[in-house]
Amino acid sequence: MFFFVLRRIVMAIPTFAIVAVIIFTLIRALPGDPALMMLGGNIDDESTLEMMRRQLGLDQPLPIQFLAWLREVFSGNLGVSILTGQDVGALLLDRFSVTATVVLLAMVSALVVAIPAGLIAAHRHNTATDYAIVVLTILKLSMPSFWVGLMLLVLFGAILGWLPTVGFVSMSQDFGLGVTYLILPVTSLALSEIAIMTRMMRAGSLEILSRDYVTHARAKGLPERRVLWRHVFPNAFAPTLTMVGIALAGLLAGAAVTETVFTLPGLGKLLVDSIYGRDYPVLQGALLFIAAVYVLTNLLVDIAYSFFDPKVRLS
Amino acid sequence: MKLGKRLFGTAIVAAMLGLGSGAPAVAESTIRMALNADIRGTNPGVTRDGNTDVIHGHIVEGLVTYADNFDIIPMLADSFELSDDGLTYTFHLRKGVLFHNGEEMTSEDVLWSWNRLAGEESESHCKNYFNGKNGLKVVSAEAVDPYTFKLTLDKPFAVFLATMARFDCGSMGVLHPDSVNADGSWNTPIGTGPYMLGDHEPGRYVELKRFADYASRDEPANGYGGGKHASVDTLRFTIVGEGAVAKTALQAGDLDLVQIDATAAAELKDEPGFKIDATQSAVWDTYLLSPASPLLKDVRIRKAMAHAIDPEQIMAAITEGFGKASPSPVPPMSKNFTEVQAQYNEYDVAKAKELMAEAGYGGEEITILATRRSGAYYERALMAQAMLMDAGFNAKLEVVEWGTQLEAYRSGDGYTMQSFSFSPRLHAGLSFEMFTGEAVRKAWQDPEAVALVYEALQTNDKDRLQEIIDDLQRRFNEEVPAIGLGHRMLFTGMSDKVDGFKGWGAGLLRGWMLKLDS
Repeated sequence: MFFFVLRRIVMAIPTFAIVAVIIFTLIRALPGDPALMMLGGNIDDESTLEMMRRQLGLDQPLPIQFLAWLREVFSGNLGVSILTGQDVGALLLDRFSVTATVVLLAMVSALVVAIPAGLIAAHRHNTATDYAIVVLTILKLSMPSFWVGLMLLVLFGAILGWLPTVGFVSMSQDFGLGVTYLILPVTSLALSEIAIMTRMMRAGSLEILSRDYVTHARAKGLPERRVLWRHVFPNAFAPTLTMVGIALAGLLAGAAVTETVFTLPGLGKLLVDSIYGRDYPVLQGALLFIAAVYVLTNLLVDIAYSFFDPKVRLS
Repeated sequence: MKLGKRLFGTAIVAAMLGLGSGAPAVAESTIRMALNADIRGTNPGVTRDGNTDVIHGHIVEGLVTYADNFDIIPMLADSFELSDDGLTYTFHLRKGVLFHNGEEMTSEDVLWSWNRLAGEESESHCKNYFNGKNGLKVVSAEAVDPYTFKLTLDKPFAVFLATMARFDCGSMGVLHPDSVNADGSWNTPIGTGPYMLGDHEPGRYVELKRFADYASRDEPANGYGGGKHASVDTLRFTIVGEGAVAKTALQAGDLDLVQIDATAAAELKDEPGFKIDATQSAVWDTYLLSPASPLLKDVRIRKAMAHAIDPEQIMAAITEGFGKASPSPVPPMSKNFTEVQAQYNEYDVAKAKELMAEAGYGGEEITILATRRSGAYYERALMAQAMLMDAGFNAKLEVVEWGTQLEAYRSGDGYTMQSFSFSPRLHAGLSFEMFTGEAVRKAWQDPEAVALVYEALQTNDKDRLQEIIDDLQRRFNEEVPAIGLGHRMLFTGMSDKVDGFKGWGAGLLRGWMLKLDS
């Protein structure tokens, strides 16, 4: 296990190097000038624009800008935001803590619902229960996240008045209040994941249910509940886990739509704002950070995979 | 009722978690508003954008500012006078004006603040407005005595005071020197405004706290000046990126006052518990025509395009009937807006076709650049495209994001026409200057027009200024460097508990005027 993890970490180094070059190049290839954005288009003369570029360090040739950035990254400094002057490293950690809270809660909630739902749908294949679960998942998949989020806000915020519609309070500041701010975004995100995971779990379970060892387990008189949880669930969950890993990494990288609708100061919102504002240091730092999140999440999923699928050995 | 339910909801969650109610104590006098993006910093005139200027405008004040009718009025100055040679401005400061740290403002603070923004070492873009790079040069700044401050120019400049009052420079706001650290780095704004900077949670909210010792002027509130008798203890601005979410939060009772679009205004107009304000601003919505486009070199094509587009229809559509066309760059609330500025190339498709035939238009493509940011850039472009096509133009819509469009604007290339807007210019000369000049981004590069604009910015003679503005308007209608549409309607939705809100053409919120109905 130790050598497996070590090898994966070493393999990540060239990945990061390539990602760094791609990030820097692509961001600079974007049309749009951060200095111009800072001035809001109100440029009264070129000298003002030049002064702003000089202040932002954008007057240097690209290779020099790249090397300067790389030197700072290696020394653990991701720079400061062009837009707000905040330290990028601290900014990313602050925003990531919000995103991670919402995403992890949503993913756990989704799995708690999706695993039994998928198993039940497969177990009651072609019955009304199965049809109902399938129709509900398709219905949810067909709804845009933005719309679902707004409808939740309208229903639970504006009409029923039960939950706050804007703002964010961290659970570390005020646990009870913090939870009320998380309910809607977590629900919104979980609903999408429930739909995807349920369908994955159902498909996996259907395949496993037709296997000989399941027939054998039933023939030897095991109760149906035990057949499902002991024999079907671990085998059907392995492919779903791969999906969970990919989805988790994607969401941790920023659930931009959810964060925008629910005014969460998360990583996705930060990323979108930094793209629109051409905030190069934040954009570069955030993309590097996201690459790290992907590498780490996939590593964790690979480790977890070995627990569900004995055929997979970490070596 | 909503609050009761909200507390009930919180109580349920808290009970489920085995906790006491976690609801915070609600301040009695707080108005909750929305900003569509976080502020860029707390350093007035240095870290700025439109949202940030609004926050800074509550914290700092300048010697002069804009009145409701865009006249320049004294703010921290008690009065000011101009020497006979038109070069020296003497400001007599108000006595007893306190900074947020309790110290009294003197001319030394004014001088320090002036050098902070306009000095050679300044990091502010504002210094370029006063160092001669734009024609205006301040050759000396002097604290004559504790309550007298003097600025001397190298030559008379009519818009000097208007430039001093610029919102993007925080009206050349006067700050206490303790606003910066001992090493000269920025710390926090210690101004003289009716509000002090409160809590700022980046990405979440920013708060302004009422300054209890604020020294208000005696006059009634007037534009960004006059008396400022703030009565609300806290102004809280939550960062809400989506307009639809801000509107929902207003309806839910989570926000008290938000900027909304025309559609939301039409919806909220008759909804009990809410009221709306619709104010015409000095923001000019226009279609810029590219000076680099070979097709548009022929004035007949430009005129044909102007006749093919109906500003009345478009303004009515994008404002849900609240607004009307005002194609002149000079805003209708300007004292220089006369019947001459009311004239424009009227919608006449037959005339457009006639001009196209005369010019030998052969179906060349007209690329209309637009973005989907708020301000109906896209909707305006879409309607213009339909109208141009109706007249026989081969118009193509290209939707890009704002950064890309700004780049095209700066280079003056990559488009034939673009749906664009200019922030308020509160002097008629500046209303033309914003798109007239020699730079490649300027749509109007005619040397005679450039010279007239320059003269408009120089003259202190009101009659001559009006003559120039009228002349520029006639030339604008003849040469069609841009096709004006109108001055943007700004919509604000608010709870009926909020009183005192008054829209203003400059488009800036004035939180000190707000009151909360108990």
